[in-house]
Amino acid sequence: MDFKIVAEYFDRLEKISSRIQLTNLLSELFLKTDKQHVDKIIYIIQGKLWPDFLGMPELGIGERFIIKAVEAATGISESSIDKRLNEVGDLGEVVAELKGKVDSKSLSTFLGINQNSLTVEMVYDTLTRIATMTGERSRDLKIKLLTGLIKQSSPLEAKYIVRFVEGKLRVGIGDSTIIDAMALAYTGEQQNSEIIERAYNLRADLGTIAKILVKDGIEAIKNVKPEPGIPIRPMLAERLSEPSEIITKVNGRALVDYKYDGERGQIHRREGKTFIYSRRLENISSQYPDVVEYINKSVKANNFIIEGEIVAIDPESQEMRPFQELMHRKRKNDIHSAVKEYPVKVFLFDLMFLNDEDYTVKGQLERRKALEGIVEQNENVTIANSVIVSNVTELERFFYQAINEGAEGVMVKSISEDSKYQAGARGWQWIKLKRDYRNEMADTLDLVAVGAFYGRGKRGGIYSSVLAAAYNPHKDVFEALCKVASGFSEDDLAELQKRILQWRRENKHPRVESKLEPDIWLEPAVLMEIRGAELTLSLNHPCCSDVFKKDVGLSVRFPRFIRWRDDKSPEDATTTDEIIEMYNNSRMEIKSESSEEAT
Amino acid sequence: MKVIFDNGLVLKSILDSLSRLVDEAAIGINEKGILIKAMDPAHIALLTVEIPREVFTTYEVEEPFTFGFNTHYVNRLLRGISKGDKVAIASAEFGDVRIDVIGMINRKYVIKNLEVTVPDIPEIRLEFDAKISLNSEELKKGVERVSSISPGVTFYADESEFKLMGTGESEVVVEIPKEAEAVKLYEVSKEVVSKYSADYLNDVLNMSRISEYVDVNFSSQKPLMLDFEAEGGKVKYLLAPQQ
Repeated sequence: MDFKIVAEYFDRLEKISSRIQLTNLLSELFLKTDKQHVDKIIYIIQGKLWPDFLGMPELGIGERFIIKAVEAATGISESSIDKRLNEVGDLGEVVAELKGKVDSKSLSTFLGINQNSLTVEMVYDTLTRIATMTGERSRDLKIKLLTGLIKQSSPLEAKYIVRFVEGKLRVGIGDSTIIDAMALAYTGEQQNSEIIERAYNLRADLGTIAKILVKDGIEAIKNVKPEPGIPIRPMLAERLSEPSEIITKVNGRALVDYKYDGERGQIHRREGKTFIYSRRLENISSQYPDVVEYINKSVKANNFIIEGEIVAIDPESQEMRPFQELMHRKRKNDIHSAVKEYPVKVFLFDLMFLNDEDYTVKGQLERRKALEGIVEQNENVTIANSVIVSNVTELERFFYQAINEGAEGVMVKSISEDSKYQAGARGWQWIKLKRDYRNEMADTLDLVAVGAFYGRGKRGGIYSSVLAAAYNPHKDVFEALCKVASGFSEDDLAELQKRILQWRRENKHPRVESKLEPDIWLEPAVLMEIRGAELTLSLNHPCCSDVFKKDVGLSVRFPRFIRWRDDKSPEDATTTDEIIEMYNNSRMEIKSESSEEAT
Repeated sequence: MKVIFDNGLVLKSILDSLSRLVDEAAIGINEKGILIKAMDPAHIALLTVEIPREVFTTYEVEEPFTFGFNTHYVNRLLRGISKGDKVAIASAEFGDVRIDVIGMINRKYVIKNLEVTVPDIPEIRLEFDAKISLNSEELKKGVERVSSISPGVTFYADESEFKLMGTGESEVVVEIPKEAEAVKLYEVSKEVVSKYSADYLNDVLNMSRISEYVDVNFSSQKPLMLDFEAEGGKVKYLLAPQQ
């Protein structure tokens, strides 16, 4: 399949801002894709060469080296490329422009060797070689391989190859759109996207799911089960701050676990090997050789997928330490000394697969029982501390006990008959109760930067405020919630300029909804933690529009920037559901305060 | 199969330049001699090495043999090779290849024979307007001077002088008159000018030590061909022009 077709579709997709059109066009591309290459096309659209969990290397070519490759391919000097890049802000556009102007011949032309047009396979294989090349002089050879690709490509092809290598494809397509387009292309019905999504949630590898779909059809997708070695997209929790409301949501009875302040890990065993995947499904086994060893000693089963929280502990007192301690551990180069300096303990809380049996379809208590059945608890590995509660008093008592023992709060888990493991979904089966929620806006929000505004006065000439958005998982869009203008230090502002340069785009991203028109639009890629005074109704922002009042959304009063959240992906942003819940709670609190005053 | 390179340093120099072009290469060994052809992935440079069997003191080849290898790995094996050291390449058991470095201290390695696709490249039939036989060290120094400020080296020649030029934040011109001591042969039919990548030139000119003179062949906006002759073998390096 010619790469030209892919590049042309990317070009068309980039110019569309309607999600329905994106889906239709993408499904058209899938129909033109050779069956054997559908996985490669999907990975490329996802901006990767393979799923993250494989732990395969990344391309390892930074912007400077891409520019060197462009220089070698076009003969245009590095300084001229830099200059143009500063003006345009997108290396892909720059290379397309240069390729259109210069006709740099390769030796093949002079030697009379026919150079075939680029195929998807050639591009994918060359990029794979670039990623996997190691050792002496590998950097120079990586540049030569990329030079060869750029030389052989048309301006449009070069644009997307360079953008891919840079990690900024900018075609505006998320996993949900890919799934919808797959359903449309390969089953003729978009409703089937639910079936595909379920399979994707159980095996977080969209390329493989697509291969199964094109080869064996939707029935095979219905039968997809988890497989050790391929991570499951984690089940997520809603959050509430009122224990009585939580008890109502879970129909009066629930399993309540401590909510530990650590790193969530999905632990797999397959053919005698143990792997750990992060919440973002990256293979983090090498960061936790101690956990792998603990699990090998403590968990008695041949194949399984279980979940737990890895928590830093004080080597002296054995008390739990905050999450930041794990971050210190990650910054250490020598993992073995880090293991000694920052020891950890594992608190297991779920089991999704055991001895070839899919447990995601079983109830919460059955899963917990099976987990308890295979774990020999010891000082390094235990089951999360838990109780069954059936009233508010019991929940509150356990909550305060958890807080006293260094946990963040508790996770309240439904034990009803349909309390399955809902991979990849956020629902009311699991509800977080954390200590901060009892205060009005005491909790921070993680919002996605989607645009920026120029400053005035002292901050004139630079971008100094950010249009921030929450994630609406139902519509798969980012809804603008507020304009964040305070809380930035000088360093934060300098960093902001860099990020804007990296993620700027000419028009609004199709997955962004906003009533305001910022001075510059951004790819929804960067998360920032913000704190505000309260949530208010707003005519300026579309977030949660029509929920409380027609055409009126919500906004944050006095938002302040706290920090960048590079550890989270855009879809991990605070959701519109969470914001609605927070708004409801704050209203209730105000109401109850008023009634107290009245009495 | 067994062949012995009497001058191991020459082989090391060739492999060094080869490893800057490609990560994997193959040596074709047949009854006439040995042949290496490698084109870099960017299709900017082509290196061919031909050494006739007569040059070797030991050349035991009954049937054609192809030795595919990782250039960096073999280059590393030959690290520390000294003047007078010999290198023997021989077929070993299970399709492997044995490399012996023979000198004051002998070293022996057995490595896998990799399956490497040899590029299908037609015979080079290019005509050049300038052919200058030049002291290879002088060419190397000239290219180094220009490449210190410019990513491209412009080769210029007219009937009286050969120049290497470059432009970066400043300009540099290295002039080599036709009559200069470093020039052995000077045949320029018309004024010619063409630019080539400094990085690629620096990579290949590491081979300057294997041959006292190098033939510099080029035409305007056409490839540059550098011919080295060492120990009876021929090394050709073809480099595509830049814009």
